[in-house]
Amino acid sequence: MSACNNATTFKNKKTNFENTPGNSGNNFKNNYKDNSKTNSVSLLPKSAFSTLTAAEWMATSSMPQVLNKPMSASEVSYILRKIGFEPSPSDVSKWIGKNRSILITNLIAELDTNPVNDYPKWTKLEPRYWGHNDWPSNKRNAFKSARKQEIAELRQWWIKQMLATNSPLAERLVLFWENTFVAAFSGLDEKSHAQWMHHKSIRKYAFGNYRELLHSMIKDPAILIYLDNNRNKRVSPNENLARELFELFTLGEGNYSEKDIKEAARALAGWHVSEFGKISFLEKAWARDFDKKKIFGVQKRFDGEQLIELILKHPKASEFVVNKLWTEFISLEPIPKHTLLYWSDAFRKTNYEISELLTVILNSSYFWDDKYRGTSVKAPSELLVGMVRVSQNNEIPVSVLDASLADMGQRLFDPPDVSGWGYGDYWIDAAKLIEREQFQKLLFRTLNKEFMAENSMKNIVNNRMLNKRAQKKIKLKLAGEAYQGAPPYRLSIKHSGGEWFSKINYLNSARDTERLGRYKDESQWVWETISLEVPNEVNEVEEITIRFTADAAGNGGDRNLFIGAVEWQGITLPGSMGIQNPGCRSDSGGAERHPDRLYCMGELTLHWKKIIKQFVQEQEKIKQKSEFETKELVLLWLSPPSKGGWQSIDLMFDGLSFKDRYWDYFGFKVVLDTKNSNHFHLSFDEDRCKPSCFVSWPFEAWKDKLGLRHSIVSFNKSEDWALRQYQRLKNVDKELVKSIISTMPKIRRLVANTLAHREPNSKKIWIERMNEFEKFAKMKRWKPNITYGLFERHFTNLDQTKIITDLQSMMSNKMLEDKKYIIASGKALLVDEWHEKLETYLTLASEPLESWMLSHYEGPRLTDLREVIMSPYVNIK
Amino acid sequence: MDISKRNFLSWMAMIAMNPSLSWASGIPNKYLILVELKGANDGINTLVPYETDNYQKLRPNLHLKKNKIIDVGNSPLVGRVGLADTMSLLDKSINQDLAIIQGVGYPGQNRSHFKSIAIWETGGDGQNSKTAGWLTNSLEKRYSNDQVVAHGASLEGSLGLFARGSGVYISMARLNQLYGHNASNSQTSMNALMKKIIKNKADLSFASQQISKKLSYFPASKLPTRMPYGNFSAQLTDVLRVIGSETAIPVMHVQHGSFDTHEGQKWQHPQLLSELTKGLASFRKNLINMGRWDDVLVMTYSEFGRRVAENGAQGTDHGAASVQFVMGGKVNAGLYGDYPSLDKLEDGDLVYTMDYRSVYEHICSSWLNQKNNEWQTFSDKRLRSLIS
Repeated sequence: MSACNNATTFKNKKTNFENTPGNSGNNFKNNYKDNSKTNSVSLLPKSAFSTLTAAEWMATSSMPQVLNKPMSASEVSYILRKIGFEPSPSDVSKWIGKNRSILITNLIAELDTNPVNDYPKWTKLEPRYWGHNDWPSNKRNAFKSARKQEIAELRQWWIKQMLATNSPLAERLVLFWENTFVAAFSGLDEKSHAQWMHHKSIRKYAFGNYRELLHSMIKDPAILIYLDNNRNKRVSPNENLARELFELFTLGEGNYSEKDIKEAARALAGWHVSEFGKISFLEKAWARDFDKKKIFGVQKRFDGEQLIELILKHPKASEFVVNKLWTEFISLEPIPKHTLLYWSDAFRKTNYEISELLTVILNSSYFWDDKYRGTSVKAPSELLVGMVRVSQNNEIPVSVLDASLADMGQRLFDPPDVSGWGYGDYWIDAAKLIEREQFQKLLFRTLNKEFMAENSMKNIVNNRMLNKRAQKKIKLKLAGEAYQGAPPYRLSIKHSGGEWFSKINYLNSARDTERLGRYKDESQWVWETISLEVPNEVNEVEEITIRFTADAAGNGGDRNLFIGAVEWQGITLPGSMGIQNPGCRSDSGGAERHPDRLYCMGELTLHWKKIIKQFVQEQEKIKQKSEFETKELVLLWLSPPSKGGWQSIDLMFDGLSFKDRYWDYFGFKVVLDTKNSNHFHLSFDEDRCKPSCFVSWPFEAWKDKLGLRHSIVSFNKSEDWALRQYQRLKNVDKELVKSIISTMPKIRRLVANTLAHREPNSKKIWIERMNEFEKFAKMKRWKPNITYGLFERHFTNLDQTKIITDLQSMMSNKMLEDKKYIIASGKALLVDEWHEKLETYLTLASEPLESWMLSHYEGPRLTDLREVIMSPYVNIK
Repeated sequence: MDISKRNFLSWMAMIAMNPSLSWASGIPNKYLILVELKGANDGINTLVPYETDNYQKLRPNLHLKKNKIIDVGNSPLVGRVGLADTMSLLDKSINQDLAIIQGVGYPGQNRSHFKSIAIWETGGDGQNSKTAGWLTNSLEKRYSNDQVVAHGASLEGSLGLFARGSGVYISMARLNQLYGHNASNSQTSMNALMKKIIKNKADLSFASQQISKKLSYFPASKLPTRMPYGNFSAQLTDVLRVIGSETAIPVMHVQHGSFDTHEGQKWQHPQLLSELTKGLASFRKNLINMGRWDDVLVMTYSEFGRRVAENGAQGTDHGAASVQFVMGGKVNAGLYGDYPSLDKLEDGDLVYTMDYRSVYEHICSSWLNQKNNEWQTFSDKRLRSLIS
């Protein structure tokens, strides 16, 4: 149905609607009568999906709309708090006396999820997530640590974003969708970049089109990994994603049958995440199920996209979103039936445009209804961000905010399970209330200037003493655990002029293990960036050492210090590149496995000069050009020799350039077919190269059911079938194959060092076989026409065991951020300034403080911001 | 998943007024201690099938020598089996109160730590996921809210074990979290949520004082035997104080690990097992001396076992079936179930011979007295005499 341009039509429609408030209510009933018998859903007719704007829909609807009257300070603050974060005085004052409609228009027009702060740099540098089998354990540990640090950084980035945004409603929507389409980092196998892509998609569609949002989520790598869809294959379907898609993402319990789930799982089979190259959605044809599926009574050859379209036609799809939005933004009390019907009708008729739905919601009188004041509990992020915004004080380090949020039960990117964080009572049980109050006290003490005194005085004094002569800065990224006091540390720098020692500092963001227990996982660590001033005479640094000066432990907890990174003169090195001394007596291998974790008194030393020198050499090497080069030739797997038949070494180039051609990845196998009287050959599979392995595949190449080609190049068979495939290749491809054959000695070395096998004698047997392969490879006919052999661009001279992933990105780009952050609506205020402003606003508002600060405050009049901060009323909205 | 503490708090308030009310009269004061071996314990080097050829063959570096094994019996498919001698402190238990259940697992093994532990916590399997904690139902039927301080407490790790329970479940990383918490508000409100918050806070302050008071009647120093040092033992110390002070929390969850020995298992695993047994042995000794060992049941569990063949890094990767321990004064010692064959592996893994929910069934029916529990279909005759 096209949009109605004609006033008469509007009127007619309106009359119809008035007869049946909620207008599609009867339809729903009829639909569900059908359901109970046949277990199939009457999907909505096409007419339910006209494309109206919110304004057009409202013009035709009998939904009671908000009266356009001037707002009081109390009303402004209530509305802003409900759909955003606790407003500061300046947020409120500009709307007092203005008409409601101006605020509504403004809230919608200002919607913006673009980051105020730049994206964290690591998001643009994706490491290689595959082929780690042969990394030494400490390198693998360092890789995982780096990914976990990235998520920790992302948490703080998000907190800063919420503090700085000029569109709190947009940030609340981001939180809302993150808590709907849950993909917790703990279930992502350390794939921080998948987490980031997920978050970015949510930012992109947060107030856009719901259909597009669903389409992006059903192909979202994080969702596919988190809900096991990587293991959903035609022959062995996995129902996890299908179930949660219906139950938690789109329809809600009771609106589908078990059979629907089974069939939907089939529709999603083969929707996987790429194994090689960058993390991305990858449809694996061999795992897909192309047969018909019957879902909600409709029979069709559904795939994931068509499944989303089908869901959108389900009468409950729109209601589900409206219901969730009600709970998030308005009240814990159930949504009134009429409200539900009006809003979900509006959502459908505006073509699932989220911002149009929001316009309708904000314009409806239900939203402004006084009786919902104070009927909802703020989630920890709302509480914390709101309180900091209202205080306009940025003295609490963002690392401490990060820790507080986790203690209150909302570690960002880490909801407890796929159903996400809860609402209401969920946030105010005993353990969480204690931590909420802890945060209130912390902010109170900060405003009282006590926080600084208590916690950081020593640091400040130490650093101020240096101020006169110091001009240089060194930054440390530290995390830790506290037990009967924060971990103390001392920095020392060996340089051309001697050795410089800092005073002893304390890491105040360390987790209080006596109260809260130890950290459960490294991804929970809260990282603090600390800037220390260094005297000018420190030049030509040789070594940087961080000493953990006093360990402590008892049956109540443990004191530890972890070193994430050190930044000096534009270069950042990860702690894992350092050497720990002496390590713990009780764990002799610990210092080697995780040099960056000081569990016992001792020190971590970064041999700065040496590392930089090696780095420079490596960079020189990288500048060389070769016609046949790769980042790394990776051995993926040695197949077990005990199993008969086709046995292979599975290899993959991480990036391959050959003459003027380039591949993201290029795989091949060195094969011994023991069944076929020991046939030695190479095999190439089309799905293992991106782009395709060859310019043109030989006609004889074997084609699988899905049209993917597989080709072999034989070494020791002279029969026609064995040689023909190679002979049919184009010259450029022949050259490529010959060049690959020339890497046999390299492959032999890889076999000798690999861990990627399962049987104890695999390596021995394969090394013997490599003798044969090398012999064949030396034959004249395989000599390639290239000047140099394979050139590998990854770092080789540097001690492999100490390298994180891609050192280049680690060293040259990643600067540690300072802890100060921006708070929206102007510069941060000192407490005195705040009170000064407050008085102005109060005069302007001519209302008592509490009535706009806490719309429902019933106690005695508050006269001081700090009383507000300590009031239990800040918990509700 | 709404984990409410209101009742816990109001109960703590009542206890404060009437300290004799620790356990409501007529309710047996029994404690179930669930020990999570986090990171997936290697069952094969815990209970060793040391006579099989494949054990040594597939673990050329990691196998335990015969003289490092405490023989505990015979198992049809693998011959003699024995415990690693790093567990020797439990030698007294072997003939008295330690049950060793072999080949425990579930269909459709999930090899993700995160997902498999959720399966163990909720009683699901690879095909069927569940959402509610496996014992919440039986536990809540056994004890009503006003009979306990809390139905369950987690001393380390999450409350996943008690997910979606409607009873009273508390997470206390350390009982210390409540110390020194003072009542700070004496406000009143007409707002329902505010009433709840104000009340929760007041109760909390009150209860926290009472908990510390109650536990202070039973400080660690009052234990008959000194507990060893370490994080695991520290949790058991808290458990002992709860038992010693008769605080009514019938289920407690503790955690030890990480057992995720992908590399360097040779020295890591013995250390982990030794810390585990040191803790459990001292725990047992204390309870025997306190005269409470009959009131306590300990069960270990872990995400999954580890692969039979070692990997190239002197470690082992994620596997399937594994071994499980049950201990307590009421436990009949011995080997239960069958050790899976090392000749018939599936993807290099042991094939489970006992569904882990059979153990759940036995605990729900024998320890919590819920004969009609939701695990009935898994009831296994081989476990009939596990708990007397």
